[in-house]
Amino acid sequence: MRMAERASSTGPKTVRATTGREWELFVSDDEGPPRHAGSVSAPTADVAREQARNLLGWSVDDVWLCPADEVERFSPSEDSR
Amino acid sequence: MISVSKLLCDLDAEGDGLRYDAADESGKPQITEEKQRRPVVVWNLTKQCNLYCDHCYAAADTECAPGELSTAEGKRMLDDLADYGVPVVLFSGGEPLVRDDLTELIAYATEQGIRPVLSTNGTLITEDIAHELKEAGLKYAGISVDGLPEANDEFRGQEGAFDAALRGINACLDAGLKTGLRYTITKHNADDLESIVSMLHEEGLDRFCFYHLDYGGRGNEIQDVDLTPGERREAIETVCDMTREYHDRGEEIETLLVGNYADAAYMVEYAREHLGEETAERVYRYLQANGGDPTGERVADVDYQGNVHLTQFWQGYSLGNVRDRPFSAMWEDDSNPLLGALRNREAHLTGKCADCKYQDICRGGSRLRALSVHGDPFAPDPQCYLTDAEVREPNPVVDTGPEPAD
Repeated sequence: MRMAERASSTGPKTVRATTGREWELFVSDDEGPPRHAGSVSAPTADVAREQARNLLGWSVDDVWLCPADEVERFSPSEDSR
Repeated sequence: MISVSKLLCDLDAEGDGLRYDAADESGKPQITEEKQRRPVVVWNLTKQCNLYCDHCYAAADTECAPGELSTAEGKRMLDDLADYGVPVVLFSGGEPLVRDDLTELIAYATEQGIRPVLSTNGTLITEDIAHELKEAGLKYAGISVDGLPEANDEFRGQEGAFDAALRGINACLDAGLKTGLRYTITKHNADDLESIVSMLHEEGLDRFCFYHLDYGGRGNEIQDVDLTPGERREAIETVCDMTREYHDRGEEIETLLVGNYADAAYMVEYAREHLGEETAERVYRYLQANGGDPTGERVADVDYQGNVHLTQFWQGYSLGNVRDRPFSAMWEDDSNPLLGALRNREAHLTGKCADCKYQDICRGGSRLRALSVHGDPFAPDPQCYLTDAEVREPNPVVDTGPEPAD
């Protein structure tokens, strides 16, 4: 078996593409501002919303769903080089 | 993971220190007690597979999916897992052998003090590869076969898959690599269970892991071939009877059940009926130390892109990605409401699980199946096959004091 370095990641745009679209979850309760609470795989926003409700609806007041592939992720210190 | 052979036949096995607090009483080398506090991590190295199986929880495909962790990224993750004290990494897929850096990653895990084990369909393992894996420090290869040749090949989507897996098993055994069977029980293959054990035992295999179908990935789409409660009970009874028969003949096979902790309760009931109250109590104590369903606690999963999951089967929800945050930090962060609740699930379980007398050795079984069928991660596991009497009657093993009315 060849000892080989695999190609590095093709970047944030492809990081979360699984069987369906990936949706980042942010939640808030009466303890403070929204915070990240993971992500769900779902083909549409409606399905993602249902999954988020089932998974977390019992514990939080509000949920934000954001398509992971619409999130621009970068490291400012590296970006300015 | 429940060791039937250990519980019913008192067999020593290297993994017992992980499954039970039995390290001190075992005659074989054990994983240290300190490391048992950390999860076993399944790493799905790739989504690519050379087969296309009906029940694949990872929904693996024959094409390579984008965004796989690179070798360097994988090593960084292994560094974090080692620092965190993760005892075991299970290299899985897809089919992990399609990655050409598999032995390099296994060797690296070994160097970091992690015990590397492998989950594979076995069809790509040649004699040379088996030796390379062994030299890299691989401690165990679990090879998936899901029935006798015809049923297996149909389930796995490729004619000849059974024979190729058998060649892989023999290559591993010839290389001196500890090897076992992985067998997911469905309506298609429940009747073949004893035949497959007999066939593979003759080949030299002595470890057999039987999986219940979990409802993740393509496994969620084949619920119609899942066993009924009666069929499931019969299959588990067969595993128990068969294990005892082999041991009675002096053939000390190791048998394990994975993925449904109603099995824990059944083991106690079985022991009481066949082996007596004292053995039933011993079985109960072992299973209490085992801790029931391990989701979000003693097992974790990292997928091919670095997303962290609560178990390998629960790919539809992720805590985050190791490219953004170390695994250890995510796993320690109880502020995630779902993770926190799973670790305190006794306060959340509903229905028959809420006051089941076996709750402390089962902990509600699969939360993924509950979510998939009931839309509620704390509803009862639809695969529970215990009778109402078994669930509700006073616990005969542990004295819980007088009834409130007394």
